[in-house]
Amino acid sequence: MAVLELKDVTFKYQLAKETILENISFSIEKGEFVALVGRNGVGKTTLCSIMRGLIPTFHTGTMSGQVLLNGLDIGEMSIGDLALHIGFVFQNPFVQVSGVKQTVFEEVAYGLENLGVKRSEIIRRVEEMLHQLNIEHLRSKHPMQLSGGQSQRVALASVLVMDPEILIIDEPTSQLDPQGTEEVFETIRLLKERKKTIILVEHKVDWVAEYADRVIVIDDKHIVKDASASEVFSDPMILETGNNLPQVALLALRLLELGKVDFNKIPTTLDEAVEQLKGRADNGGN
Amino acid sequence: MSKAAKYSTMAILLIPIGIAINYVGGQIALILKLPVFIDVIGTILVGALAGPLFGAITGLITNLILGITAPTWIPYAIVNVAIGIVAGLCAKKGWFKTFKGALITSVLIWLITQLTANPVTVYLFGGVTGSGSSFITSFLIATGQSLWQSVITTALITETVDKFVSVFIVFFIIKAIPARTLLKFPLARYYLD
Amino acid sequence: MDDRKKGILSKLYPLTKLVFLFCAILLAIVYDWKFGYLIMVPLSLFLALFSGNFIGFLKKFIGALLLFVIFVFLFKIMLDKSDSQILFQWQFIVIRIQGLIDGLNQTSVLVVMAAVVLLFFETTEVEDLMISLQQKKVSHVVSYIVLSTLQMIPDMVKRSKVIMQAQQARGIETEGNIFLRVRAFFPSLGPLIISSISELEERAITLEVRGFSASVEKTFLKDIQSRNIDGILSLLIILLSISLLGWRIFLWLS
Repeated sequence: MAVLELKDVTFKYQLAKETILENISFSIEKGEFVALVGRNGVGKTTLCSIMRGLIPTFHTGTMSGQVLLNGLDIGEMSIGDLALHIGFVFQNPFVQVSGVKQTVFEEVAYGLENLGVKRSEIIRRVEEMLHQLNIEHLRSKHPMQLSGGQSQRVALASVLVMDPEILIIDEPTSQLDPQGTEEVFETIRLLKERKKTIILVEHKVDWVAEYADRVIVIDDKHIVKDASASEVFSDPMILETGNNLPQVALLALRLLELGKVDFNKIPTTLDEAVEQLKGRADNGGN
Repeated sequence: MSKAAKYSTMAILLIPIGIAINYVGGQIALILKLPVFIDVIGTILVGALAGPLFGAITGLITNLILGITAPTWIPYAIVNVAIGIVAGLCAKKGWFKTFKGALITSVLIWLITQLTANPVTVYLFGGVTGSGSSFITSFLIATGQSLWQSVITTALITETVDKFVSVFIVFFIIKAIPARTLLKFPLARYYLD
Repeated sequence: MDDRKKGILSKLYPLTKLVFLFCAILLAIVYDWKFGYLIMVPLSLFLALFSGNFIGFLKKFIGALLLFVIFVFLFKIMLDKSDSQILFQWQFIVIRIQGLIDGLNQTSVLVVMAAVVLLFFETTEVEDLMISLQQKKVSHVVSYIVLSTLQMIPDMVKRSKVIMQAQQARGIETEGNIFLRVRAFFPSLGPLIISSISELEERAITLEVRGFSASVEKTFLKDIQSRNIDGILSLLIILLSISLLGWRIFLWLS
């Protein structure tokens, strides 16, 4: 059974003139890692809010269609209790602080205190999370006095530590350097191994192509493509939806255009490209 | 259920902001050496956006927290609570939306301040307010007026302009809050068409 | 975590000290100035000394009350029309004993209140107080509001300074005549309020995501517990207060 399912969802913000999303339907299986891509302002963040149950109650507007969490209508559940099931990390890391804690350690623990987790268990889980996201050195710092990259990782840690079955992550690496980005994606890979369902909004397509199982492309209010990462990113049409393609795919397309090399499939990851080109290189002498 | 949760979380978060505004407003007035206190803007704002209950809580906690370092603030909590309630009730009449309404609100808030603050000043503090205005009171007593007369006259001199200015600051602030943010507060319907 | 406040009284359960605070204020209200000035003030000073918070406490105590007490005595002496014993006379200034007693009685409750409140917060972390209140079923919302305010105030003060400096840089006068200063007030405070309110939405979502309104019983990372000594002390304070209150009522009736 699908963990999360959207059935024909259309939404218009109160006070807005036009709908932002129309007829959105898809279902996500347990353990799947799905990436949402599309140009800025296309409604990816809105879609995240819909899946988190913040729409249409918190952000008001007119919504039709249904969102099902494990087969149950999300509209029937309270925003508060959904915190047990769905984790949500959104863009601006500086406002994602509780505002009541004095150290990063306490900040990360805050969600667990709210969920009523035992004290010894809180300490164990926070330690583990700080280690995993490589932020142990920040433990005694004030959560409001961190750099962009640091707050982004603390925000992520504060939600991951709550161990929800579904994670919605909206651009978690915007403030991070390549090193930090890799750590975040490695963390997501670990979550995937633990059978967590992950929905990620991310502009860094090279990473998405490398890690995501499936990619949903949104353009002009609708889903325009919903397929495996390798299928989506080997399709040059994606460039017309305001998205980028992985460097590897761009290079392959360019080579194809120049007629230099022929590919049976446009590679989307480095490994795939190496695999395909390896044979050619061997035959290069002929 | 979920609708109520949304409103209360936004309103709950508004309270610390209101308290901080009370404090910072007073500080800025001090720095600029203005002859007014402007230390209840936050209470009025929270009352206006979230209703009498939230306004009252803002007023109460403002004075309790200031009381941590200056305990003489604590008894005046009753004044700040009353202001929050009046602001909330006036907002529910839609009075923060029009200039005339804001004027009526100013009068009522000024009145409730006089009614609650002066008894505290006289009975509990023997006429002293702990601010510079005590000099006015002592001058009036020295000229032979009774304690009540002196306290009320002092309050009229110092509080009147203050409360009108405070209400109008809130009136203009609400006008400057974007509609989509305003939507999220319990009393939004009194401001949006 | 580690104790940020030091001293013996800091180790007591916050609610034990809160019981002491309320009982002291209640007794100060029913008794006259002798209870406040001869018992509670020396006791508070002794407790502060005993707990090792003496200097900090004394500074705050004097700072909060000095101006206030001087004015009350000034008023009372000016208003004193009794013919009690004259203590001091110089030209038209006359200080009689009744004026001083009036002043002592008028200030007694406030002096006690200031003493116990300042002592309380000198020896208690607000966070610990909030945790202990939550353990007694006070809503976590109250705790959130108070703790959030304590972080919000310094944050806003800092932001207001930045804004005021920016205003000055753009040529808005923050000194000079009253009209210039009044005009500076609005651009100083307005943007601060609007920006704080605009951030509110995302902060609300953050709280929801962290389970703020999840309908489960909250736990605490910080281990705040009532010990045997707290139970005994609370009981003693309450019993003593009830007897003193009873004695006072008996005096009134007889």
